[in-house]
Amino acid sequence: MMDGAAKTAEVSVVAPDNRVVFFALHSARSEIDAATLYQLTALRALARRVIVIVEPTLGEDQVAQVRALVDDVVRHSRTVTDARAYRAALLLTSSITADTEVVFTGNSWFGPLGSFDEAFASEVASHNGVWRLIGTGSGEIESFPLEGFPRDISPWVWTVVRPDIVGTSAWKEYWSTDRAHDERLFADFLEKRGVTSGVLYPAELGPQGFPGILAPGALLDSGCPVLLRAVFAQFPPFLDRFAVLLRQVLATVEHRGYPMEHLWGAVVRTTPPAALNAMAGMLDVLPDTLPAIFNSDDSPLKVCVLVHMPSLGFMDELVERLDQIPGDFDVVLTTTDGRKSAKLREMLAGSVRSWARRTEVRVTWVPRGRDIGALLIGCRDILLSDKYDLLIRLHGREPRRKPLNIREYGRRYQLDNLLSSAGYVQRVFELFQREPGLGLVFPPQVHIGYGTMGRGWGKYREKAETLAEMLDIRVPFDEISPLSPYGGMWIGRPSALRDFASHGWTVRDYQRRRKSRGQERVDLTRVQERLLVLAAAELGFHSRTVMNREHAQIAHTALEFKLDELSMTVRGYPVDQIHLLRRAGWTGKGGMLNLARMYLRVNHSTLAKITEPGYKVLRGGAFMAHRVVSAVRNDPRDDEAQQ
Amino acid sequence: MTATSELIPAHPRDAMRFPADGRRLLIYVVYDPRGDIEDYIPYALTALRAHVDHILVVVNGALTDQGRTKLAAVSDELLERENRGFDIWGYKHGLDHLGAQVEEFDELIIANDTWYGPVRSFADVFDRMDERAVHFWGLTDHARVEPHPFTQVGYLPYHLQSYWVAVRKDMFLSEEWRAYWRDLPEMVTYSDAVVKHEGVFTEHFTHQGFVGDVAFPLLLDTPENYPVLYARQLIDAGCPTLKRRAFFQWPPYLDLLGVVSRWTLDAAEKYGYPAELVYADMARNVAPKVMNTAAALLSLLPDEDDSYDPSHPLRTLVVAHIFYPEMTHEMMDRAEHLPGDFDLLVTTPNQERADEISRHLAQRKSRGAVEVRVLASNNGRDQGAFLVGCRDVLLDDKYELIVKIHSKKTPQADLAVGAHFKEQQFGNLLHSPGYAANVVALFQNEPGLGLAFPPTVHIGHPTMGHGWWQNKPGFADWCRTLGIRVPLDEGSPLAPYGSMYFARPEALRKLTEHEWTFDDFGGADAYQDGGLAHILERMPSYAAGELRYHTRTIASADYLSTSYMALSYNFDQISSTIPGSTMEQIQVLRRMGDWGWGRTSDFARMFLTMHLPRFSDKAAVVYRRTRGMRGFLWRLRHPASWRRK
Repeated sequence: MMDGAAKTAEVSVVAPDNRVVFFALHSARSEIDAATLYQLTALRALARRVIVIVEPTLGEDQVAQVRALVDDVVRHSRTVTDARAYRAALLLTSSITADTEVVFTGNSWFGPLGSFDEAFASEVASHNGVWRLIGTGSGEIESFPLEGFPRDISPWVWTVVRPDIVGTSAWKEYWSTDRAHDERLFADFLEKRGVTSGVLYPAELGPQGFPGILAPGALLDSGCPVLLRAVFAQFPPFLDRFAVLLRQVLATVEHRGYPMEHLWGAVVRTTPPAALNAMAGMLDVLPDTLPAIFNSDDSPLKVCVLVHMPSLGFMDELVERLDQIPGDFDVVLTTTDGRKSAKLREMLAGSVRSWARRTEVRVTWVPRGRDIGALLIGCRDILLSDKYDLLIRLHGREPRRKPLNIREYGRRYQLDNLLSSAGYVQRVFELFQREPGLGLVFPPQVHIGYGTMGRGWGKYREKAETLAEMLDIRVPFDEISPLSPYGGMWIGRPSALRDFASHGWTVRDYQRRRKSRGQERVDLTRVQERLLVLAAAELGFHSRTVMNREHAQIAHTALEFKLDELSMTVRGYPVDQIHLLRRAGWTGKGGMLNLARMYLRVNHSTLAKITEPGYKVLRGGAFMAHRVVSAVRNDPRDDEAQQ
Repeated sequence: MTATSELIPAHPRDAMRFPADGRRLLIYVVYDPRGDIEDYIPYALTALRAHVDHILVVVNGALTDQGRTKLAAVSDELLERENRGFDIWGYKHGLDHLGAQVEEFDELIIANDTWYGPVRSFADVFDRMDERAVHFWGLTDHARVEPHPFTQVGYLPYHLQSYWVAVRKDMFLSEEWRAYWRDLPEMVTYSDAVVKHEGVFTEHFTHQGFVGDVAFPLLLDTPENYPVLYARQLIDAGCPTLKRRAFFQWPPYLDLLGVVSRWTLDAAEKYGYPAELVYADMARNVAPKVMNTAAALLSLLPDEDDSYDPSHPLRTLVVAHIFYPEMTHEMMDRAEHLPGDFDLLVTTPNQERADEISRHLAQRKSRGAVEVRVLASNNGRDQGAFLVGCRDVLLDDKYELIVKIHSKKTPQADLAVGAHFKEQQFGNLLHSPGYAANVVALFQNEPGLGLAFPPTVHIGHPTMGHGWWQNKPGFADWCRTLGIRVPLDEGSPLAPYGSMYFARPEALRKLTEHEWTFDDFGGADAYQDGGLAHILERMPSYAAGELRYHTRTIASADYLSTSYMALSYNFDQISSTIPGSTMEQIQVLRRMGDWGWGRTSDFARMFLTMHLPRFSDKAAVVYRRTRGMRGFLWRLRHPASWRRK
């Protein structure tokens, strides 16, 4: 596509001196991220003037950051995602003369990846009065509001109006009134009035007419200098449907020299963490062999292992696991009482391991705090200090109520996937060394023997939302299961958890309050566990999952088999299957009531909404009746208690 | 010394130890649907020979010559009988056959073929049990369960598991023993075998004062079937037998209970049991996808060669069907990742293409013989090219390893999807030189490995749950024709979707021996679901399994990361509206039946299936017959449709 441009004889590239960039800065979070500042810095070099249009909610301190980089900042009265924002700026700008080339863009993309020079020099750019970088189809891209992915709105990507068009009657007519237009409508408007229009990467390049979102890999491969942020706002199975593999795309972006920490820092705050991990394939299956080039003296990380040991039986296994950590590290053990701590000290005194002499033993009495209470209260000083680069969180807590196989699998799954071997741990360390923005690393959500898939939030969501509000975590929640170190073990940077740790948790927080009628008892530790990744994301840290080869082989075959069997009776691509089941809603065991409700929800959604209260009454009645019958029969009641 | 209280009678009779010069008799009952006898059986009997003076094998069903030869070599007597009454009536048949001859022995073992072994030493068990003064003993037991899980009334008594019970002379010469077998009830179902024999045998005899014992008593304080669910812990405890059931139970059930059969197999291997015996048996008798899951036969291979043995290269042939000659170099770049020398056989549908391919190949340095064949037809595409066009080479013993690839163009319409599929194939087969060497090493290390190919493609493809498409009925027909009796998977088949794989030519014999013709495949219009090419695409693992060769799926770490995250997210999403464990979710969805497009008729069908199953057939008839009427009503409600025509 680019090749043709160079051959054209009459290429006329407008000098930066004659170019004005209108940049719409949209932020649902009312803040400016480093990726946007990076865009502005790059665009500044391309234009005589850069004018930024910001939203009313953006704070003055944030605006000041922008002002330092650009020529002018205009505050618009609403979100800046359509033509009205640019009009507001145009009305206030006097510097648009007839020899000016105007670029309408915004923080709707990451880049530039490489430069815009080729785009400006292209045939499309030089032969058209108005040209766009990426085309869009006339329809709307599919969206999945039910699944938590409504249609994304973002500023115009890249529309350029050549100097000879600026100031013409068509131009003046367009801007004479407020229009809630996207850039395609703008170009169409001018085209109808005789302005030639072109698109560098036309809509036909991508499925559904959205190459920027559904074919980013192909665009990058043909030299496109931007990656749309909207890609990260899509429902992951929808991206799967078109084989949008962001893992590869991001590798290309990095290869082009883009500072990845800007990208991660931005998307980690706006995309739900589990969805981000899925769409970007943020799982690393690491080998056990030592890396070929491995120099342990090369700025080694300062590591501290924080271990909670409610029972001493974990000691042997712990010693074996700690042997897998390369280099020096400190250890802090927490246990629940003085007798255990005395025994632990005794055990350590008899150990030949060098770390044993430096190990600190703490008594941390946090009833019902499980391992996380011991961490947040007992190791608060370490979480808040800068003494360590990395913390390795382990514990010897055993879920007593689970069968032996599940207990064994669960432990191996956690420990093998964090501390498989020295080579493996070294590679985990390298992940942190390579990415300063990497906050936490832990094994993926377990699915063998555990029933968290499909219900990771369980009954904890409401309380998690309350807590998130309290801690000022505004990262969007995943709808079904949060990304979380469910087993309570992870490797992470203390700085990623700083806000979470500085909250000032107390022993009292973990005590179970009396359950009021009809209210479910919610265990704080499980809520906290589910918030760790979100808390890190709020600070701009992303999380990755890791597995060793053996576990990946076992877990992948099991996962594939189960998903295959689950998908047998529902048609289409996974995105269709999921969408149909989600629309239908709770299946129950396929009883008449549930079938009727599913039928209505899928086929008569309005009727379904009207009848919903009736359904709830009926279901409540059926549930009560069941309880009464069970009580009369004296059936054993389900044990609701948490382990 | 331990004793299990349930085996101690209230009024015990005197019991004897096994005498120092005692003689032992084994009645071993075999059931093999093919009658060929899998190699784990001779392996077990050979090991038992050291401890047993007389081996009587009773076969439920008919043997083939192959099976008869195998068993004759390891037994003293061989009986074939009608397959009736399960292993229990097989024991009875053996006892009846021996009659008074049993008097020559001091201990009688009745055992069946439902276990692999010895994983641990039989000698240790015999040494230990010989010392015990008892009347009968078993290897493992089962706790009392109330109510009875099969009948829902009464209780299932504590019992020794019937796959292995040893009985001493005092007991097997007793009147009670004779009466038990004389009055043995008919057994028609599996439930009968448990309810009428296995569950009651132990209690029947302890109540009469016979003293029992068990070599490996209850591992846990739960009534779970530990020889299956805790097989690994059981062999760790020293048990010589490993129940086969541990490897063919429905994976979601084992998964629910946290059973990782891969680790069980690893443990057995660690104790010296040849895993290839397990693989060969499973390959024949377990549906391939179930086997792939149960034994986690997915190999994640690194790009650094860490397993290839260059001193034992395999004679390798790359079979490449090249329809698009311009892709020759791209394909050869991949093929040349193979370690060592290899011959190349290219097939293409016409001379013009052949010339172009030859020109391309001439620019490259070959690592062996090169042949470009012009096919008589492009029917069946790569399948026809392979099975018709290369039949002579595939049946030849010249090669130990075949690498089947073909030129795969990506359609412009779905560029990324096509590109992903191509990379999913080539990238997981021939990722890099180190990777390819590791794939070849799998074949070097496992003589029973028949096939290796990438896992099922699922990104950009609606394969999850639908791998069979319309091909299953035709597939079953062809299996019968070709003599393939490997069980078919309920869910998607384990198959090289994309038709590229590594294979041992012998493993493909069931496919390659058949005299296929291009006409069998039909023309381009026959290349669709249900057509022969699509059936054969799914068949290699099943064909290999029939000949005892197993399949591994192979993947690069990079692919696996992407694949895993997609599967995991989708799994989380799809299971969010269904109650219970994954196993229960699958069962609920299965009971509800096909969701179709979620239309009224689909929900009506689900309703009938769930709640009025008796009427569902009738309803289907009514639905079909009322088509005209329904159409009329629909048009009545949609006035816009009146205008047409």
